[in-house]
Amino acid sequence: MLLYEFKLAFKSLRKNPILSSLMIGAIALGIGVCMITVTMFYLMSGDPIPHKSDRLFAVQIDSWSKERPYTGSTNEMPFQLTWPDSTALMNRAPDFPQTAMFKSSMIIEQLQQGSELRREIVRITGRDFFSMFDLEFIYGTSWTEEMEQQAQQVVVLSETVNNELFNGQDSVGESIRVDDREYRVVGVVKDWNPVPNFYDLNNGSIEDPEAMYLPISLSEPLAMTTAGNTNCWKPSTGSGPQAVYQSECVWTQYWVELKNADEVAEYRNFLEGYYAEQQQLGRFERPQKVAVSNVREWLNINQVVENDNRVLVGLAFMFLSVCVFNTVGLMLTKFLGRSKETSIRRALGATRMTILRQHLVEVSSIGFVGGILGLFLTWAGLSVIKFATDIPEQLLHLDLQLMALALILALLATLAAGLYPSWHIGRISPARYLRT
Amino acid sequence: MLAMNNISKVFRTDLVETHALRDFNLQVNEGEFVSVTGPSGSGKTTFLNIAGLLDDFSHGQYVLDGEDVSGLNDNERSRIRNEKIGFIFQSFNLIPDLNIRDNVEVPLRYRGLSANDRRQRIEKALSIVGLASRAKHLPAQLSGGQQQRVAIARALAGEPRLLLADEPTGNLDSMMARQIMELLESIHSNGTTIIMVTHDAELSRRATRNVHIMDGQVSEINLHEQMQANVAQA
Amino acid sequence: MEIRPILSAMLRNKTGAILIALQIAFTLAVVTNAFFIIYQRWEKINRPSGMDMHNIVTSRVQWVGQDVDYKAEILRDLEALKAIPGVTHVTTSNAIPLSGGGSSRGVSAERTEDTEWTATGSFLLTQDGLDSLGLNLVSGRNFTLNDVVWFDPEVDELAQNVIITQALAEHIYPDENAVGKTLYMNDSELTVIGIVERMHGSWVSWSGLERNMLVPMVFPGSSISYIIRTQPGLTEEVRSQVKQTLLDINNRRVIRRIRVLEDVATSSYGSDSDMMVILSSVVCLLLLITVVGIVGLAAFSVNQRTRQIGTRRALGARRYQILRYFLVENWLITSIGLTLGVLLASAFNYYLVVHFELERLDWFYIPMGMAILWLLGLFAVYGPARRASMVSPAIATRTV
Repeated sequence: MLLYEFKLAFKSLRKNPILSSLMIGAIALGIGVCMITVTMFYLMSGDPIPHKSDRLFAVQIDSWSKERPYTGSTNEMPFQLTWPDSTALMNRAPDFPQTAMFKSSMIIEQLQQGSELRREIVRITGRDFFSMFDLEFIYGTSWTEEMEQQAQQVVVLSETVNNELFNGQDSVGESIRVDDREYRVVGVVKDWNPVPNFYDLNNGSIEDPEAMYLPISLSEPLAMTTAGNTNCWKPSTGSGPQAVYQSECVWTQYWVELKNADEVAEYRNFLEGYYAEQQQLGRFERPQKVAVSNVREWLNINQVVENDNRVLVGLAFMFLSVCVFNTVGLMLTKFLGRSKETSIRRALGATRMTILRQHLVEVSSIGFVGGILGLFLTWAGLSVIKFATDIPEQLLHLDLQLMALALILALLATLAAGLYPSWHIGRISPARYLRT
Repeated sequence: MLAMNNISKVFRTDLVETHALRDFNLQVNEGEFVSVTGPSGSGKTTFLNIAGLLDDFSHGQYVLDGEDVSGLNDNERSRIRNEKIGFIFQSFNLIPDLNIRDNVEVPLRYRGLSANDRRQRIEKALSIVGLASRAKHLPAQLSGGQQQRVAIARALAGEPRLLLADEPTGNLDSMMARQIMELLESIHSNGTTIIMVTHDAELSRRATRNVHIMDGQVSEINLHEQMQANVAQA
Repeated sequence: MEIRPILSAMLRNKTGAILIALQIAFTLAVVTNAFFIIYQRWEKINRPSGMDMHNIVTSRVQWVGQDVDYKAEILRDLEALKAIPGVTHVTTSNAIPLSGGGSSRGVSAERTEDTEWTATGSFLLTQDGLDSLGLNLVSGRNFTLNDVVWFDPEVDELAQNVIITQALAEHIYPDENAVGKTLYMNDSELTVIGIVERMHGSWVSWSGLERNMLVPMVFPGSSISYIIRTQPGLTEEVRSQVKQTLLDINNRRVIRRIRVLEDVATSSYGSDSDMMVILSSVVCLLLLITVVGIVGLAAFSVNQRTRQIGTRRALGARRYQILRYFLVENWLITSIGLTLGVLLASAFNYYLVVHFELERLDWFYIPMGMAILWLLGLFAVYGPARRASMVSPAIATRTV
């Protein structure tokens, strides 16, 4: 029976090619517009590290001025930590994988001077970083704890930089020059570029992958400066690049990996103790406030999905609803156009259910074809947007889940559109159109 | 009232030419009640369409109410249909979405009459057909005979000089058909010229003259004795 | 006109009319709000920046190596850049306006326990700063060579004077002449010596974009920006020489982002212009869909009413009267849809205002959207209506 209904649906689609293509076109266009905006939304609001997002926690400590809270974030705490707090946490916090970090703008070159100078963004971080965030090593490993403690000049390269400086060969043991100092390569990782780049959202949520990683123990001795945000409520004492290391300015990100609620509680407990201790020492003049937020919470606190993005999704769904109304009208047109045939079918013994089902099968076929075409339009639209705008490519990428979503959305929209016309036509009495 | 001289109507498709009317001649005088009969395909409907200015013809001359209408454009023909001709169709052709009153009003609207004038004419026409009380009903709520009476009221409201009826009883049972015939006869007796296409021999006998169409031409004309009397009355 | 009978006929065939009306309503809601957003972004992108956008080249320099005499290097660079034919003024800066990177400080007209600090963009420039940016000094005086302080950690001396934008002056010294006043920061104080009419700061989407202060100071360090003003028409020529000129002096450094200020702005306003492009496309497609929908349903309704149209023609309706019937019918449906649409548009806008910090819709977008949809509706229905007017009156005598 279902096969027969598919045959009828196919015949009917071919019988009114203009009406059929209008319906399919309307659904496809609605799906296309919706999916383009949903794609951008989904990738922005998506989980950048799904298998670990509930175990990685951003640490916040309210080190701000006693006069007024920090206003830039939704939870009224600075997004970043001061250097003294970061080092205190790294030295004294319970023994979980954790690290402070920041990015820096540096100039790199091959060991022998005279080659081209390249300015790159470099992440200064602890050795736990690589395992915490699941970076994938191609060659070598992270620097050892010993190297970090001794502040050895070692570096982990990204694949791109390794390709350019060492032609993609295993460069472990080789040396390069960074800001005119010699560093020994201990590892090479695949380019790491999560979208959004949740681990450091201070300068926007989409950035190019970082070129290399240096041990954070080097940063103060070498007076490395951040290329990210520095926020201060109190002037630093002294001047020069070292001053910021003693200041109350916040400029380092801090992450910790905690496996379960107990560990979270333990860590939070430590933070509260630390806060109280610093208060007694005369720092932290605000009421006690610390936070550990997992990746999802962190993305919310940082309001990663932009308003424009949400507005577009809203508009796109209104667009889809216009397409649905449109399709309802066209379907009604089409179905009523063959009332007589339906009337005869009813007279020949088709029940209301059969008629309803026959039409719903036709509607679903339209939805399916419209969905496929809509996917194609989505793909084409994303390509045009990639070409015509500055929207980062990482946001314009269709994955399997999105494709499935497009098809489901198309089917739901067409079914919603087809329900009333099908029901309406199912109510036609067998006798109605048989009289002349 | 109406004179058709050597009217021809040719339907062309890519392959065939069909002569629906060939050198068709007919004269109808004011006050006549003419019935037109003939087998199906003989050209009855074509004749009616041309007589009612619903359709063009290929050759010949047609004078209606003293006016040569052969070369008139669409707007002028619409005006003549609206002012001089009343139509009664086999399938009534009431507009299903409009109530009785609004249906009768349709031709009056196109004539651009004032609301007051329209109201008076509608009331009068509906009372002639005896449906004044049903003014607010929809066509679907009436029986076939009542619907045809609404159609007659619609035709009468414009006070036409010529009434064209196309199988007016074709969709009705015999009792209702008789009522419609009586209505037509009383309209005729008030002086309106009527041309009625029918295939019902009994009905055609009640007209003052019968025109038989065969292969697109008038084949015989039966004069009834009654005609003289009616003409005299008029 | 025949509005009453058309209306009553329409009410008997509600579904089609309701569908079109709903489409029109949603379309109006989307179109008005989208137009509003598009216009706002257009306004944002095109507001005057106060700077000579087309004749300024900017660049960022980063040195490599430990024992660089930055002050000497910078002085040599400034000299060499000024010598490029077509260059009129050069200044160092801590940041490039409109670039998305920069520095902001809290400033105030006083310093007490509960001072409200006003976040203000801070640009550290030389005595040529105003001319290099093409700013318009409206009162007070420009910097002189004596105002400029080259920061030296050994001496730890800061600048004494500051020039502020009119927007900042009005904000912190309302109804007063700011020239001569003291501008406080939490660690220092400056004397206002001049006011510039307008200058845009670093972050184009920040509400404090127009609140800026210009401080005559240079921080010699491993990286600095140069702002180069050129004669009109020579910008590209100058731009192409900047890199080589600087590398010829010292090649142990990277010269980056050599851009005309106009291009800096275009790239910073990228997300706004993208929004405009996307919204315009959505509006066009939506209008297209709506037109197609109206054409489809009108064509169906004409088809269904062929006999009725023939009857009307037989009863004396002229072609234009049939045409008019359908136009009026559509106009009525559109108007009903638009009435609903006004509510929907306002509700949608209210939602956007509450949840997305958008501004209230200006009222005239609604009549504008309505006019567009009215015209579009008539345009869409004209085809089917014209076909209806061509129906032959002879249809009426045809038996079903």
